Amino acid sequence: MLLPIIGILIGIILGLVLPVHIPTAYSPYMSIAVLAALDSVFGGIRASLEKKFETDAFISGFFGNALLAAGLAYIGDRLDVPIYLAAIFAFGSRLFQNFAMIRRFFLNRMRERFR
Amino acid sequence: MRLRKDFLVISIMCALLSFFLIKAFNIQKYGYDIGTSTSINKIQELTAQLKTLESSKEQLLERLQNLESQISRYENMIAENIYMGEEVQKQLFEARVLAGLTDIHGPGVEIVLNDRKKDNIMPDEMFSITDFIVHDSDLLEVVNELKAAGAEAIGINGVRILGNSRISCGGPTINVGKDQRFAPPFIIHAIGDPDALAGYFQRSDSIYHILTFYGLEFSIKKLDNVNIPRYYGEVSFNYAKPVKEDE
Repeated sequence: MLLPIIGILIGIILGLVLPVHIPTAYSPYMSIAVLAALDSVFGGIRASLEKKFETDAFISGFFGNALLAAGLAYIGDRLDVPIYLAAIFAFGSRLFQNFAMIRRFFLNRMRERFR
Repeated sequence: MRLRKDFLVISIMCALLSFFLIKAFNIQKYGYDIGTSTSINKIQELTAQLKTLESSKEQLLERLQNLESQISRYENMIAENIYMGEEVQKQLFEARVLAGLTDIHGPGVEIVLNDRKKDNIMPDEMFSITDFIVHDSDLLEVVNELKAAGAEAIGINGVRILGNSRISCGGPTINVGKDQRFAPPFIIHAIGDPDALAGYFQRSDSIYHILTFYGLEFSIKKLDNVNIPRYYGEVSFNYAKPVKEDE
């Protein structure tokens, strides 16, 4: 249970320390890629709680979704059509669904324990 | 055991995700922090300030016109009373025209100089954003080329350029003349032979080719009649004195 939190902390520290800079021009794509990756992580947590976790599906989903979301946003920018909204809706709603499932899982577990 | 492996993979991905999250936050911090400069209060404050300054400027201009009409009345009175008075007055007027103290018109060119428009070409690594904006040196060079082409009078955005006018960098603006500052676009009027003025920018080493290479807006229009306002301000020498012949 502690491991993901340690992972987050390591990521934050690396992010603050490493002098990698993303050009400002790419920041909208970056934000959407982050949203997609966030959705993947939530999906991964949910799958592992439901004991349906598959490593390859998780990793490919993590990178694939991020790249697809950023690519869509880029194409949308070029075509002057806000396609990134599609990514925001899809990943945003799934994010909330995944979170709801995770919440239910823990609530159920607590209820069983108190019974 | 299976759950542990899941969590290991998720943890690694969490690390990656938070790394990119931090990077995304940092972009926001450096890229888009405009702060309070665009808040509504600030805008209202600045508009009010602009209005008071504009009205005081108008009052001062009116006062200047009053005083100048007074001077011309006195001049008329004197011209009537002294010997060869009208001739002297005519020469005085001609001197004023040459000094740039009268509104002036004639054939010439209109040059519009503007920053590169935002287009969908991603900025190349080779160029920086400063290559795409009009600098004081660019404006200075355009004015210099106009002078070289024989322009008799030059005005930038309605400000007459005289021998003592400066064109210098003012941060996001360019200082023109004594105390004006302008942001692009710059509309430069010049009076002279339109063909000669426009043709001068076709030389291979003209600033025109450099600026258009970087995609800046640089249009030259020949006009039959160009109006250039007079120079507003004081022309006086505090230190320089004319050399007398007999000294």
